[in-house]
Amino acid sequence: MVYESKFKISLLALILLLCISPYFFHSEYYFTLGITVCTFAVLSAGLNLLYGYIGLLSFAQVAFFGIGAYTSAILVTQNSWTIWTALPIAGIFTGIVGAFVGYTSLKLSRHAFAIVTLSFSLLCTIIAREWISLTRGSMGIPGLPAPTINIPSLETIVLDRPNYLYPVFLIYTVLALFLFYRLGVSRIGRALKAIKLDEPLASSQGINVLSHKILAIVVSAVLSGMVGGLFVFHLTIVDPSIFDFYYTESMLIMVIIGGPGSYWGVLCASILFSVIPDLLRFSSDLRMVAYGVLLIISVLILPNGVAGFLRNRNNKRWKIH
Amino acid sequence: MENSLITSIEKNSKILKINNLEMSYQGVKAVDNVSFNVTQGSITGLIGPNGSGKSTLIDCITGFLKPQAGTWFINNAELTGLPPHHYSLAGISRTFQSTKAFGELSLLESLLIAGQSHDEVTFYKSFFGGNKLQIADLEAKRRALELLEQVNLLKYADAPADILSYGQRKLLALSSTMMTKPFLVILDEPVAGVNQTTVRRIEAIIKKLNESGVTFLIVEHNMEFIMNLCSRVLVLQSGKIIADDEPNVVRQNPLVMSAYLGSAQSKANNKHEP
Repeated sequence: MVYESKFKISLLALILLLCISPYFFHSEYYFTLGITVCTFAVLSAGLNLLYGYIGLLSFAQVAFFGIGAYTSAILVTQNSWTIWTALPIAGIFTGIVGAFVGYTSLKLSRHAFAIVTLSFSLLCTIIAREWISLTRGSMGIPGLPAPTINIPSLETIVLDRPNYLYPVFLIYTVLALFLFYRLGVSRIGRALKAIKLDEPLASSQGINVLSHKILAIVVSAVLSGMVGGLFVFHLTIVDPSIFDFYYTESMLIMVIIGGPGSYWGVLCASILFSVIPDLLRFSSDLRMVAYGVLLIISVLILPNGVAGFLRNRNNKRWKIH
Repeated sequence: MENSLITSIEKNSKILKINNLEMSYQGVKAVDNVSFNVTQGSITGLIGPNGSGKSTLIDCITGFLKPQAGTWFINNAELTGLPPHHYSLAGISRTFQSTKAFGELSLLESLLIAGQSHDEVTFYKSFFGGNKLQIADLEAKRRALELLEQVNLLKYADAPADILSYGQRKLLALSSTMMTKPFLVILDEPVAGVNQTTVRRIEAIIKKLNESGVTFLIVEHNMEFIMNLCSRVLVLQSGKIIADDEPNVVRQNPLVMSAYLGSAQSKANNKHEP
């Protein structure tokens, strides 16, 4: 127990150090990398809540990310909202969409849920491409204005560079990850794990399976939608590539290698696997090959992720017979 | 067992009433027009050969299956057609034939999960915390550890349920039902595949709980166990109740002997009777 607490404190200290590390380098590149890490940390924590805690393989995560991105971009460019008002609305709208997707698909089997969410993501890509009057189709919505902060009696701060935007991402990520953490360690998180391990047993003990599942989807959708809404102001453009399978693939790698259901495992994996592709840029030819080899080795050595490895080691301590 | 519900239920009242229950699988009747009552404070046995419809009946009255016909009432409140979690909240707890456990979670966590929907902590409070949650959590932990001690599993409180033997899982399942503060417990084959020592332990626990006011409906193949524990035995064959009486009377019933031993054996037994 003491060992576990010390490990978590050390890990937290390391993560905090990583959070402030871009300030040591005085290069925009590291702030951009920090923004990517923040974005994937929230996205993979959202997927972990669904897949790791409750056992629902959701491909809709990227759709929530994209819906949040488009909603905030449209509200800011076409309705002249500020990003600070557009972001919560993007989150709420994505949450409503998440509740609808969840309610309609959760009565089906877990396999059917995966297929429905995959189809939903593909549908979102088609809508983004074809609803030209709203989304401008494949051209996307370019030139998103840089967010500004107006402080009375001080000049307006324009967050037009990664090193100005990074603190906003950092604050949002810390808040979102805190919410995921609280949810995971609360009674609700315990109920989610129980549902994943044995749904009939959980429901026979009074746990309302459907409402817990919908709650998990909504929380995951809201937080992913808001990070999407923020991320496009870093990109300064939103187009249908925001629904790209690359995001889903990255999130899955982070959750599977971190260990589904492990908050800290997935957080570490999301930091590592956001940074590794960039570290491998020294060789553009071998970059993806090296990344692939690294993934294969990880899966071979840790088939149940880092958390699964630690859990197996813990189980071996308990020998009864 | 501290349960306010129990005190509000009259002794000898009908705690469970099942009327004309029917369940078919592709035209084959698994439960055929079954009606019976369970009295408060009793231990009722439900026996029958394999495939007689015992587990189907239990799955129907706990919301896991949707029967084609029938109504059922718990303490005069109709629960027909409600989803499974409502039954637990209404005071019915059950175990499963295939012993279920939250394998990755510790025994303590498993019991806390079983109890968490049964205290007064709201959904909102369970996320944001507060004094009420802290008190409820402490009380739940105390109770869970007490129950683990009763079934001799206290030393494994922090161990994952995965490492338990089959018999220990049965004991864990029984303790989990107690975390839900039930007034009716339905046990589906609580001693199947369990060694004699554990059978005796489970028997003693059930007796003790029954003395404190918990009503039991037990599905089991182990006749000795049923005969020792139950004040009344129902026998199901091909989805129909063929006997409903005291254990000693049921044991002598030719229909029951025929159902269990086959008609030839039954005739042979009857021939030897004076």
